[in-house]
Amino acid sequence: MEHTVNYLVCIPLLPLAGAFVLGMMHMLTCKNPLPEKLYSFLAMLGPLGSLIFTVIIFSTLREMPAESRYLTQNMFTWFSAGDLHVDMGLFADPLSTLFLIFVTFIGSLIHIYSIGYMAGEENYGKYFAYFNLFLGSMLILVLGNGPVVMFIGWEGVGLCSYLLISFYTKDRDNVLAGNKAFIVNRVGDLGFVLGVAVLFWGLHSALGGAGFDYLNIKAGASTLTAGTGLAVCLLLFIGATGKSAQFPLYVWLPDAMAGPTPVSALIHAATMVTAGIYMVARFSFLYASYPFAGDVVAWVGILTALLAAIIGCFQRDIKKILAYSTVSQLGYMFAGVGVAAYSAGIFHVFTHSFFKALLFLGAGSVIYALHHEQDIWKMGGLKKKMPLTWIVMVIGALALAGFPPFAGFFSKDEILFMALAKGHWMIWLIGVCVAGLTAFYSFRLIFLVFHGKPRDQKSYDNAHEPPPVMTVPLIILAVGATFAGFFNLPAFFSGDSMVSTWLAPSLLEHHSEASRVTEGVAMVLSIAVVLLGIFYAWKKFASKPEDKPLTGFAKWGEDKFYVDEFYNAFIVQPWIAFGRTISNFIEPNIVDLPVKGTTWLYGVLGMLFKVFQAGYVRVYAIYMVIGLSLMSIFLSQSL
Amino acid sequence: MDQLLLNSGFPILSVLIFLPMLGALVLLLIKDEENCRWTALAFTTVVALLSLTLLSGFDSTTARFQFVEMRPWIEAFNINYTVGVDGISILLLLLTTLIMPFCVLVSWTYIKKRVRAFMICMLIMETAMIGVFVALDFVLFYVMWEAMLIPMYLLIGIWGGPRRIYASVKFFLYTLAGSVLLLVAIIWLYMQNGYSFFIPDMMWQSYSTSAQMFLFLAFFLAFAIKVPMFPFHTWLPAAHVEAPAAGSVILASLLLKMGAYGFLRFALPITPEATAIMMPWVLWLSIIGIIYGGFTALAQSDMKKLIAYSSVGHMGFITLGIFTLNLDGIEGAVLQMINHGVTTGALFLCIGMIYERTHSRDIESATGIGKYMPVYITFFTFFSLAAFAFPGTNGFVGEFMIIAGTFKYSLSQGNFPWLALASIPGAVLAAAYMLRMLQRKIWGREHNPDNSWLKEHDLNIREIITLAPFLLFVLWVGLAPKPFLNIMHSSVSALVQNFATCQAKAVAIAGTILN
Repeated sequence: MEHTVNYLVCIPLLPLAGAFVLGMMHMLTCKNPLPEKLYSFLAMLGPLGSLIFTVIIFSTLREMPAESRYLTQNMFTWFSAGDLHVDMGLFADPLSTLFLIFVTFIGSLIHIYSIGYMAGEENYGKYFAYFNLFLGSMLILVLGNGPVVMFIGWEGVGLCSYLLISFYTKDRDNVLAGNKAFIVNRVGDLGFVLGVAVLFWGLHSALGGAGFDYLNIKAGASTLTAGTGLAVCLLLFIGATGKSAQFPLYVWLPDAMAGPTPVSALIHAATMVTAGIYMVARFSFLYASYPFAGDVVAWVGILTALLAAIIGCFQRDIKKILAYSTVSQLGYMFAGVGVAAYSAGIFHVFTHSFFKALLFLGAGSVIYALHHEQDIWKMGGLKKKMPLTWIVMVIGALALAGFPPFAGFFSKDEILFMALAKGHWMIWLIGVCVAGLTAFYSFRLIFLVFHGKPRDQKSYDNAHEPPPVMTVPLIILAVGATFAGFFNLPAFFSGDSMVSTWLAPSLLEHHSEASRVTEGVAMVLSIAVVLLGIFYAWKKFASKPEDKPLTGFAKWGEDKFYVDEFYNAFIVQPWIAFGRTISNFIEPNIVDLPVKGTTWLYGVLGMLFKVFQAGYVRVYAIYMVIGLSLMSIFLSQSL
Repeated sequence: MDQLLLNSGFPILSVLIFLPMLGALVLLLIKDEENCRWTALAFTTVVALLSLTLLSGFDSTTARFQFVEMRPWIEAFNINYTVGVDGISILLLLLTTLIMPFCVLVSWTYIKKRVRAFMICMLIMETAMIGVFVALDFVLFYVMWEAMLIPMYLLIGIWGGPRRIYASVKFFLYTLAGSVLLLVAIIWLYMQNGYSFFIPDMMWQSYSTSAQMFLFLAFFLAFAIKVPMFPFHTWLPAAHVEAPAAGSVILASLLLKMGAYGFLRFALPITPEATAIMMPWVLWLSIIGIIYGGFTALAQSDMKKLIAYSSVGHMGFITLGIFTLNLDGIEGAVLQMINHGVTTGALFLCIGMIYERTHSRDIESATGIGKYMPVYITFFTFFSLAAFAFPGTNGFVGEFMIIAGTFKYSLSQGNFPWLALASIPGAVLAAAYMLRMLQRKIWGREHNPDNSWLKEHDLNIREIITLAPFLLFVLWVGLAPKPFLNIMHSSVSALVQNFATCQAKAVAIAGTILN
């Protein structure tokens, strides 16, 4: 079977080329910009081209036998020294292909949506250049043939996120949010780099100078010592917590909502943040051998899910609510991959990308209609003005809450059920509670935004549905959010778990069997909790919501449990203070002290000798007399 | 003499050394300032192009010195004029010759007074720097080594900023003081080696351990100040801040490499035993430099100072790589020497360009210019990314190899890889201080000074031509560093192997004494 192909590179290269062309065009013509239509046309070519190539790869892989389904392309040797040999190469297997499918598909939809959303904005061209650059980086991340190539994409998406968060440059907070995102991610990246370095040194004799890529790593993974393997897993997971916004590094994601809404949809909900889960799944052959690492992943995931869900219940900003829901859902996914239910976790990534993109773009339409109002307490009653947006948002909320038969139900339930089946009943229990909270805050949002009476009459009067270029992507995504769950219909519903079967060759997982009865009871229970959440939200917010100041625990929740303040006081400020101390005190007064001391010493010596250099003949005559006398004394003594 | 490949034809290295000197002489005859600029540019460009021809004749499969020329110089003391290059020095030689034309270009309008004298200094500087990298005779090396100080002293002292006298004197005295012991060491080696100053003969000899320790100390003081390693770095920020743009570029890109080159060429081969003894200390000192430089850079408000302290951190990575004494580490370090030369040089060029416009180097002065100078900011962003080792840029490859080498060192010693762990926060710090600067440059703060007049003053063609090659290099090394690694590979692996043999011998001798 021929595994080497030469068209893999086109997938990341097309958007990257688009970014280059758009960027150059923007840079050269920023004084008198070109027509927006030209930019939007060029910007669409890259994502659509990648989508086409993705379909080609998908069909090529399908024709291969399941056990050896992969394609590779080696372009050139990146660097090599000693045993370290890194090829610049790409690798597509069922796992990466699944990611390719939704990244290119949803990426293209959001490109289309952006054409409407960004119309008339300053720096229109730059926006699309960044967007293409982002897509290219994400595709490198997914297609890289090993952790080092993956790291190009890994950092690349971080960079684009940084650039796009800071896109509205007038507000300084946006720029600070961009910095925060980059630096927090950078902290996670250290874990990633260390993990990769430890992995390499654990394997370097097994690799024997062969390429440091997934195939060789997988082949040699059994030679790792237990300590090294565990260290690799935990270090890589630190990287994942940064990129995928998990505790304790989740703080950047809610702030990242400062960027344009389509960016939030694509980067901070559907694609980039799933990189951490992709990475854990990619290294499933390692994580599966170290159950302790898996437990850490699962617990961090489920506790993050709980924390973010609680915070999400008390937020006022429509995008912040969705941001915390993303953090929470990512927590579910980690819980899934942590309990070694890799395909369940990845499937949730897949369905989540649809309904979260849908929710964000729907929120974008609301924000667009209300002229950049984001406070849900200033909305209300929009159902009449924006019926279509209302419908798609309800679909999105139902999918997010995990109500059958919408997409989120199948994927989330699969994760919870797998946790139960593998004996992690505590994780299952917390997961069910989180499902209730999720239902509550998503419907709090729906009721406050679309139902009841308008709370801000003026902006209500001006509200209207967005143009078709924005609604069509919404409808497509709504269809996805409704039906995506059926791709992986479990045996319980006499389905054939299509996605799990497709992913099986890429992942190392052992399916645990539990009785049909347990599965049924668990399912009914979680549906009941979801209904309870929706009911409570309806009771509290549907007819006469009260916007009273929060107190006690709720106030803590609204203020995000002061985690940001804690970081600022105990990490950021001390770092800065430390830098200032070094620069203003230690550097001039301690490190430079010997130098200054030497200068001073020479100065003093000079002063001392200066006294004798009077410049008068009579003084020198006295020196001469003294000198001659001393000499004669010495001479007379020695004789 | 088996380590030499004599050059029988065109004496290319001598031409490279003395052509800039000739240029300086020619400049003496020229009055007109514009012609001075063009003459300097012509000479540096010709040297650059000539140096590229070295590559075609260079044999990268051998670790021997090539293009060697030998002529008697001061016969009474057996001092010869001997020059030659190996895989390490050829790269640094090329870095020098290729960067110089850009230094002339960036000074085109930046230097307004005494243009002729400025260009003469630049050309003499070039002669001295090339001399340092190709000298194979210790006296010739020492002469060139000290000769570098004078034009640099003048560059800072005459064309520098307000505190130029303080900075130039500190620079001169500090570095001069460092090399005094070096002279003593050279004379000792001269007497030990049958009254010869020939460098390759001094390598891999079995001097006594105590002698090696003394020699190492002398080398270390001279080279650590030049690198500069913590805590010998305090001359650097002062010199950088006051130097004119071209001076900063030469300092950062080339002068700092002299120290690292000295370690590779002298400390390791001449005093292997002492190196092995001192290795852990130097490694930890490098780590301190990385962290210390990063923290200090974080607190700077002068852009040049910020980059100067970041250089302390980057050079910490380079000495870290060198003293791991394995192939990955040293190759990474040599590559990083080139990378740092290019990236930091480009950053200083960028800062010079903005200084020319706003006459301020304060981080708050040119805020929010991203909107008005998109071309400038694109270049600036790229070089900043390279400076904090963004994957795909040159900095990443070098740093990754160095970290890999550090891991290998710790594990081969049977230690927990603390060193590599400790070096990593340097990367977060690098991102933090570069982003801090970028953020203010691109997006600004609440109350930006009105910089909208810069709209009409984005980079001109000359400036774009100056920066574009740097950008291409950043991407070239970032994506395909193989050609560079190939050139140095034989020399570095010979170095590593010889070192290992020497150490094994020392261990064997120690073993027999004990028995």
